[in-house]
Amino acid sequence: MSEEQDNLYPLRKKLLKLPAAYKGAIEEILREGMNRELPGFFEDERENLDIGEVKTAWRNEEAQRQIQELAKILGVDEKVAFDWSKKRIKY
Amino acid sequence: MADTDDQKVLFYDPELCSGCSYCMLACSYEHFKVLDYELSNLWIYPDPQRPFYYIGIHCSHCDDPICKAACPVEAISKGEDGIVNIDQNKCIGCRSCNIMCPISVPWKNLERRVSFKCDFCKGDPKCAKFCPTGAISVKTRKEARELASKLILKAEAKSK
Amino acid sequence: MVETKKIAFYLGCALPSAQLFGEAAGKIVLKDLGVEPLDIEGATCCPDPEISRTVAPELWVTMAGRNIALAEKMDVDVFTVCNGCYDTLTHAYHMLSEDEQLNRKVNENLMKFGIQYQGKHRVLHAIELLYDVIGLDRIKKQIKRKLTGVRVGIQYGCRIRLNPKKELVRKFRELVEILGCEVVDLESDRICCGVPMMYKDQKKALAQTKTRLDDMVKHNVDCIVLFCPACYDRLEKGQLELNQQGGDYDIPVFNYFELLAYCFGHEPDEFGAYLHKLDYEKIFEKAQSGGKS
Repeated sequence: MSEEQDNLYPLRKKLLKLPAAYKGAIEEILREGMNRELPGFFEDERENLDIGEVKTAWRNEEAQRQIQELAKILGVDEKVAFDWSKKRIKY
Repeated sequence: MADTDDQKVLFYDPELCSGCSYCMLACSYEHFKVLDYELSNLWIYPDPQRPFYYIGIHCSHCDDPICKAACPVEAISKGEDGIVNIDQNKCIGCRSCNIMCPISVPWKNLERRVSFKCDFCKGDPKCAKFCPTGAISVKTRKEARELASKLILKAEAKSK
Repeated sequence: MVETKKIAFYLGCALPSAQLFGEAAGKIVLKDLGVEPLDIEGATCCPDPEISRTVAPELWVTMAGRNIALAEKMDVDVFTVCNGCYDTLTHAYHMLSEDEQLNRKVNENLMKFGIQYQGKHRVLHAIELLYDVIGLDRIKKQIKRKLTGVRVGIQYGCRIRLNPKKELVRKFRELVEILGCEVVDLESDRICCGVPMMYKDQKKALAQTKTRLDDMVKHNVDCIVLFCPACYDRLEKGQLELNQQGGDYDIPVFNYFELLAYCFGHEPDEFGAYLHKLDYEKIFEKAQSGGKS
């Protein structure tokens, strides 16, 4: 929302309407820091191919915490109305 | 003419366009917060004459806009920055601008019953910002004219 | 013995899971070339240059800065195969080096977790790594067998065209050429694979993928080679979807690293080629028989 509109409607919530196609991606980023899930099957395959455990944010709780903190600091969670208890977008 | 040469306009290069149409989605999201090809202020169509090429239709923010001249209620104005804009509060949805524009850039939103057109996203056009190949870019009118004439010469040489 | 160079391998989201043959092949190839690829501990989504950048541009640039900073912590350059990740990371890199205020703001937030973005190390595409850093000669020396007689179509992907000065398209073509295959240049090489259309209209996306694939079928392309995981996803799944609707598409899609690993003498099973959903074996059989299918 623009500043002009903010002055015009001071009580209106600063909520960004998200299209369905965007919701999943934003939810996944705020939830686990990544954009796609990693099914167990691929973890087994990674072992078979000897490329080691995945080191990206999938299983890294510290990295996930950092991204969630960043989202809170930057106000992204409020902007998209992210429900932290249910880990999904409210509306 | 000196002032309009420096005006920022959109430039579309069909040689670079991959036809992904994300510019249209970015535009509709910026203006209506939905993803809808029907609610975009610019259009990408497959070129009927050249396979695998596309045609981009976008507002040129003309020096002397005919849409502005055609508007019966003076809802269209050309700002100091050269951007041609429709004031939706004044628009009566008569479609005069839609018909008069040589490339039909202004379009009527049937749900809101007024016309819309490119407003240059307040100086930061989202179509150019999100174009993944750089086919749509922001240039000064002078640069855009030079590039366009180069493209035309190239196309003519090819057709011979 | 050539000195081992270390580089951070930014995987993105698709490579460590659905396309792990790309990651496995990449790691094998780089080791053969004397480059040690390092995993980035705690790397997140790049994030994607479309959705995240539209919805939350501040988080987008901060997360991208964080990913680069994690590689910087290991004191190495970072490279990626994904065109989307490359776009995001290079874009953020430029934004952070040009805009001091933004840089300060991003660093302020990152410092809370003990991470600092310095911008001292480069962000490279796999094409730049192979062509500019490693060099064609070093790659050629490692090639033990060639893809003789195989007609290869290249899906360059859109975002590597953003910086024409880097000439990534030409470099990618040269990289494919040294594999000894027949590069099929098509007019449709420039067009979109259909990924951005998936957000709104899956039918339109499939029609776009079909346009691209039909041109390949028309010119008897045996296989498609690419780097971008998004293009991979669309071109492979697109063929499966079209086959469900009565089509008959069977053009296997490969990550460039896979073909390179094969040419370096590795067997397809070593890099997990069996995870491909289309018949990939016929390509290697054709190569072994010298182009006779």
